Amino acid sequence: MAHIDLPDGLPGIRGPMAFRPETAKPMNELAEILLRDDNNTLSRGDRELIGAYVSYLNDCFFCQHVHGALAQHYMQCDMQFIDAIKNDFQTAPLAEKLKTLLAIAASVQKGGRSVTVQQIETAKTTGATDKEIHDTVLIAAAFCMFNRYVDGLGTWAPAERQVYVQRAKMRAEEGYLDFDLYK
Amino acid sequence: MKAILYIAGKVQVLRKEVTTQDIQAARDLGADDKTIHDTVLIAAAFCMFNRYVDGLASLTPTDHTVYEEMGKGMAKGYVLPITN
Repeated sequence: MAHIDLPDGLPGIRGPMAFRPETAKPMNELAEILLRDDNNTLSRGDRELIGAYVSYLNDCFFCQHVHGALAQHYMQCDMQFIDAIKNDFQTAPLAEKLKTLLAIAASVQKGGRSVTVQQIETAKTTGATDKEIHDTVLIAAAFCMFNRYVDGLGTWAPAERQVYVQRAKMRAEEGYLDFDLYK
Repeated sequence: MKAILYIAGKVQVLRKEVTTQDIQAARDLGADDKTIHDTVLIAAAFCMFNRYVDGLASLTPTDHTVYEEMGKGMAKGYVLPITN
């Protein structure tokens, strides 16, 4: 049971967002810009993957599966591929630039000061731009917020992982701004 | 206030750290659902802001008086200062 009285049946972040729409609005606007806006040299799949990976490191079941399923949808891969990335992204068949960004994201998850000059230099040698590094840091930081919001209030999440995969296509199409919290 | 800060501290540590007992202790002292919600979200949001600031190694003044001035300005609202 959640720590506060949330609307029945809403999974994960949807409960507290329905409880306090005033704070849901800027959070969803941030998610839309960071994860879905196409004016970005990182693909939607790359950005959802960074979010899913940080959520995995934070052990947030709901967020890692919502955003893992979205990454899976955009990357046209299967759940095993996403699981393998969570397990060890360095050995996964990903572009080198994305690996360096995932490494930065993992450091951000530990704390901002864990990010090293070396990590940034390595990312830049693989072609990462300042904006891509900025967005990686902010996506990772934002998920450190979302994950704690979801789990700090003790929200409920479907345990069946396939549920998230089935809903990913709809989630990708509706985006973070105009969606019905109750669907 | 102490019970509320205790919850915020646990949100910072992580996830399922916040226990039913912590919430009850805050309720016993008069905290309602909205207070608890906002406490968790403020703590969570600062886990984002802190990482954004330090993860990009942004300029951090070490002179405390600078923060006093910033505090006075920010108390009027969270709008960015005009930079030239």
